[in-house]
Amino acid sequence: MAETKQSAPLALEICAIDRAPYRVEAAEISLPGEQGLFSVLPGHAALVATLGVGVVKARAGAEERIFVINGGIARVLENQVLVLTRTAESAEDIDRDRAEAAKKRADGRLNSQRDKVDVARAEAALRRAMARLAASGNPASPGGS
Amino acid sequence: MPNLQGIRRRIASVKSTQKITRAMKMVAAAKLRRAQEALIKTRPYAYHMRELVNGLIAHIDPTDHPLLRKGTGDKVSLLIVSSDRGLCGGYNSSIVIETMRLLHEDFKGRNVELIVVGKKGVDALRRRRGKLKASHLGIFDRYTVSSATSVIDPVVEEFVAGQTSEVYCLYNEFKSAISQKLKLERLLPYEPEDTGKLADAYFIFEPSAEEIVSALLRDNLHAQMHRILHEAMASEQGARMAAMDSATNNARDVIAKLTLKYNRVRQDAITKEVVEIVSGAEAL
Repeated sequence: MAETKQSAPLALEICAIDRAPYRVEAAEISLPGEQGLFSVLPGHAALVATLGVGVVKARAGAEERIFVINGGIARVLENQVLVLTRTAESAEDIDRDRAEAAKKRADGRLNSQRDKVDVARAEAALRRAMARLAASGNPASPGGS
Repeated sequence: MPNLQGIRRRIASVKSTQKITRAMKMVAAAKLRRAQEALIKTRPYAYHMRELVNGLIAHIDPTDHPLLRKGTGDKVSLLIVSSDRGLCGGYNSSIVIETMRLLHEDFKGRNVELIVVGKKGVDALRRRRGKLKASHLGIFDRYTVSSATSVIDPVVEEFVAGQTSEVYCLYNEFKSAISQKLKLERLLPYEPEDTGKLADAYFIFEPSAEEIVSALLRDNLHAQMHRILHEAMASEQGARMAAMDSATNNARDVIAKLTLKYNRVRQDAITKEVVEIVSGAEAL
């Protein structure tokens, strides 16, 4: 196969339920699949995969755009990558202070010994906050997804 | 002879009504713009979601999926989306009339349960039909995505449990600021209209196609409900703006008519007085 031949770049569309879609062109896209990170290059096979909470990176040359998404699904077909997710934010739009506060809140909730804590919910909130922080620059704690 | 003061009072009262309708029109126009923007944001997600579901259903065996098979029994859930506030022309009454028509014609003889969103629809249908299955009031004021799920989820659970055989939704689709189209959509059992090119593509699924389609079917219901409620919000404001616009114009016509009448009566009175004075002078 002619791997060196550059196909048409990828078109990425990220649709969140209550936000106008982001549309980006890229040469390489990495996605937070529920079963592990994966990358999409031009000419990728048709794929449908569920996504977890995490960061979508779209690279075009030296330029890289980063989005935080909250679960959902990705569809790759003929160099069109469609991401449907509950919430999506571009890295520039992230409010670091808010994410920082959310992380503290979730941390506190997980560490408190009371029975009333909804662990699954607090963990999900923590994951979202960490993804936001990771996307918007130096993460507050290393190892954030 | 109609008295002058009475006419003057009526003009003043119509004018103040006109002031109110004009202000309401302005408010509705501003709200319409916001609702329209929100609707335009939600449509791509809902449309993509529908397209994806429709295409992927072809990749699984649909016979036994709880959201795809037709339920048993004759019970039907009918979701009706009206508005919480009035003064929006025929918006709510057309919904109620269509609901009654559906009950007496299309769903005749079937056991229909009504789930109504919006105070106006709830009031009118409760008067006409007695008890409703569920009513949702005030969800438009503080609307979030979870408002949509709170409306649709109980209905879906009932369907999955086999208590209802079909789920329909009656709502206004937003066409433009001055036109809305009443639309009856069947939500469940879900039936893809056209499968598109996704049905033929050979996909890698992660995890299995069944799991993905199951998750998508639910997400799609949420997305469609979210869109439907946004369509309704925009339609309501459009209807209100149009209604208030025509009310303002009617008030202007009434004022013009009354002013003409007022002047005529005033002139008549003056003429009469002049005639009286002249004839009085002649008599001397």
